[in-house]
Amino acid sequence: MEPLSDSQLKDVLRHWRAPSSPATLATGVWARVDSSARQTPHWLQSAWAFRLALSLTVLLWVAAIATPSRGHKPTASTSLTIALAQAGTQR
Amino acid sequence: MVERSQRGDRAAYSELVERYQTPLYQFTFRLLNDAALAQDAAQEALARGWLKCSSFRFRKNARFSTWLFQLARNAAIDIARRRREVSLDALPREPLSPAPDASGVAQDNELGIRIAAAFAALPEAQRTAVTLAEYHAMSAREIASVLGCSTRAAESHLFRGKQALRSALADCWAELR
Repeated sequence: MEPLSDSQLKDVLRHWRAPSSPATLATGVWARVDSSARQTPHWLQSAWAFRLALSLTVLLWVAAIATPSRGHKPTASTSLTIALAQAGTQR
Repeated sequence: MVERSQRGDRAAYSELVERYQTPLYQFTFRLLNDAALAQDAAQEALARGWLKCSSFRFRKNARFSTWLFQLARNAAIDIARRRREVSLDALPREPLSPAPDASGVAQDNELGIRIAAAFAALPEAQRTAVTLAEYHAMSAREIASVLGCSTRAAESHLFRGKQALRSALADCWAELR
């Protein structure tokens, strides 16, 4: 059978009519919104809370990296590395 | 109205719900081929629309309605995956639950059922593209925005979808004449 032309296809497709939205659809939307709001704590819904938490985390990281460690004692592996290096230069 | 909704005005968003609920429901109905699932998807899309509308930005060519259709498509895909544990590309050819109104506007005629079956046989992107073009008068650019692809890709989905339907529904045209 010959494929339909564009206008013929349009004409055929007109015969598939979708129903109108059910009367309960709009009320269901707000029921979903309210149940979703109950599930998520209010402070978690605001973007500023996430921005604050992210900024604090970044600040803590920077502080931890930038602060020089006090009373640092070389570990066994560090000492071994230094000893090997010294031995190398002596040779 | 969109700007008022973005400021948290429920009454304004209710008006938007009133305006878009039928197009969105009809869109999800044609995607899912099932009245109950279509209602679920349309409600989910409109609820997500309210929760996320503050993130919607009025940019050049950005339309709120297109954004809602995008949410509806995503909701339909999620629902199809969750309820049937299959993708939207493997829909049943027959509706699972009938349309709520038995008065005649739904697919109560044989031709409607055959068109629905031909749509269900299309891959999801093609079905979405043809549905938006033929039943919601959207341009290729708007379809691209809903599908999240380039205009060229949207045109390709539309072309392939229509091509498949032209062959699949050829006998329907013969019967109509």
